[in-house]
Amino acid sequence: MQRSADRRDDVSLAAGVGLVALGALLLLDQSGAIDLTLGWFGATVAAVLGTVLLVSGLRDPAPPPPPSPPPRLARQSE
Amino acid sequence: MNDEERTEDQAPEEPETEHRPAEEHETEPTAVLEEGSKPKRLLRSGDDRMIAGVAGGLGRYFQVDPVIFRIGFAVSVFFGGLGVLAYLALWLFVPADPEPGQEASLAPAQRSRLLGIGVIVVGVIVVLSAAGSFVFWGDWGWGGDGPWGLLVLLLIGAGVYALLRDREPGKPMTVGRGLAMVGLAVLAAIGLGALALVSAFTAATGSGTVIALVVIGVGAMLAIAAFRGGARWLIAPALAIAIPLGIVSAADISFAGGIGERYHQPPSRAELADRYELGVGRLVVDLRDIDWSRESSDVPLEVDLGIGEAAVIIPESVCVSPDLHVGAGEIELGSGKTDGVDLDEVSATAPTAGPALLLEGEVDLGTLRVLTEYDEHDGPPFGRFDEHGSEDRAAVC
Repeated sequence: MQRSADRRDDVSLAAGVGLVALGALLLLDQSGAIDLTLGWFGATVAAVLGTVLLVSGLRDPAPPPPPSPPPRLARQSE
Repeated sequence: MNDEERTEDQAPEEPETEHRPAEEHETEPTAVLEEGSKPKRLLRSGDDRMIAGVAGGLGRYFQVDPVIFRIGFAVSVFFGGLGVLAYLALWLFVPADPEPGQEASLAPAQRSRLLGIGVIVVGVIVVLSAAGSFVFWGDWGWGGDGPWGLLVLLLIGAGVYALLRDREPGKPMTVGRGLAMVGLAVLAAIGLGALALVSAFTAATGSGTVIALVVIGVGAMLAIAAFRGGARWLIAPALAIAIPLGIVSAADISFAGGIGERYHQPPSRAELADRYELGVGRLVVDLRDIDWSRESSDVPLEVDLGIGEAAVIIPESVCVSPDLHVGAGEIELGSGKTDGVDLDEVSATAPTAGPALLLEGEVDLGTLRVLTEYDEHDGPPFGRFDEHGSEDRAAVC
């Protein structure tokens, strides 16, 4: 179970869910159930991309911080 | 305060000790460490970065969690995208952390990046203008009029190379690796562009439902693949087919009327159709051969074009009662010329001495022009509007 959670890629998950929602919106427009405008479509795409970027920023592990700076570096330029 | 909490401007100035481990990384910039008495420098982080290290550098500079800046940049997407512009500006003008032993100033790299972006922008502009020429005038310069295609590819390739070369400061890129990466980037761009074109064309020909189902299917595959390690490479192709479909659907663009140039010149009122339609190209309806003096009532006419240019030519003696709409482009009518998005030109029918043309025009993307007498009658006036400039706009009733 822990292994499955480790392998889960939240960015792919968010992008997949966003694309399904975007596709559903387009399908509704194609079927005539809604009348999609450029403004609403642009806002929806921006929301999907923003969500993916947000998840990417929150979930992707940052590399470990470097060790403290060695003080001898200050003397190298002398 | 432990070592991890210490920032570069708080570095201790005690002399070097001989106990320093040999494997210790020297990732902090030398220039920053030396400048304890100087003001802190804002540098893009080289080790805490998602895209270009801007948020990481800001977090380090202000000593706050970089995630806060990342959230700010992401949220700004929903509010006009100002944060995106700020991010790009910081990427361009804030230098990155130098490599160990390298000077903090990365002016050549900055110049390289600016040059790369500039060259790519020029290349994209050339591509767009060439594509516009292809769409609107049927004159594509990829071979016939000169080596434009090769020039554009070289421009874009040089820009991508300049950008890639800057990714690893201090490590010069070999010609082979650079060419391979440029080739891959060009291939990826061509592939995504082809997907977008296919999606737009399919949607415009009335099969958008299929594309929408494909988008849903790819999204579901992506979500399932997320539990097996992810498949982020699917995101770009999925967007490449979803976004054109949305634009075509939202703008109501249809290729149902066909593609090309259509010139209609009905010789009499009886021959005049109620509606003229074209998908992509140039549509001209020339009404000058009709004997308008014999008309006692107003004449209705509908012109519908997806992408391109539509022109209606009428005699000077006839006025127009317009009901025009252009999704994106321009309208030329009467004394005015308007351009932009979602343009409307509507005028109520006014009593006139003679018959009026009740013109209902719709262009999704392009130009809608209503002109009066044209000084040449030998054949279709394709391509003559810009050459002669002798046409006049029709008068509104």
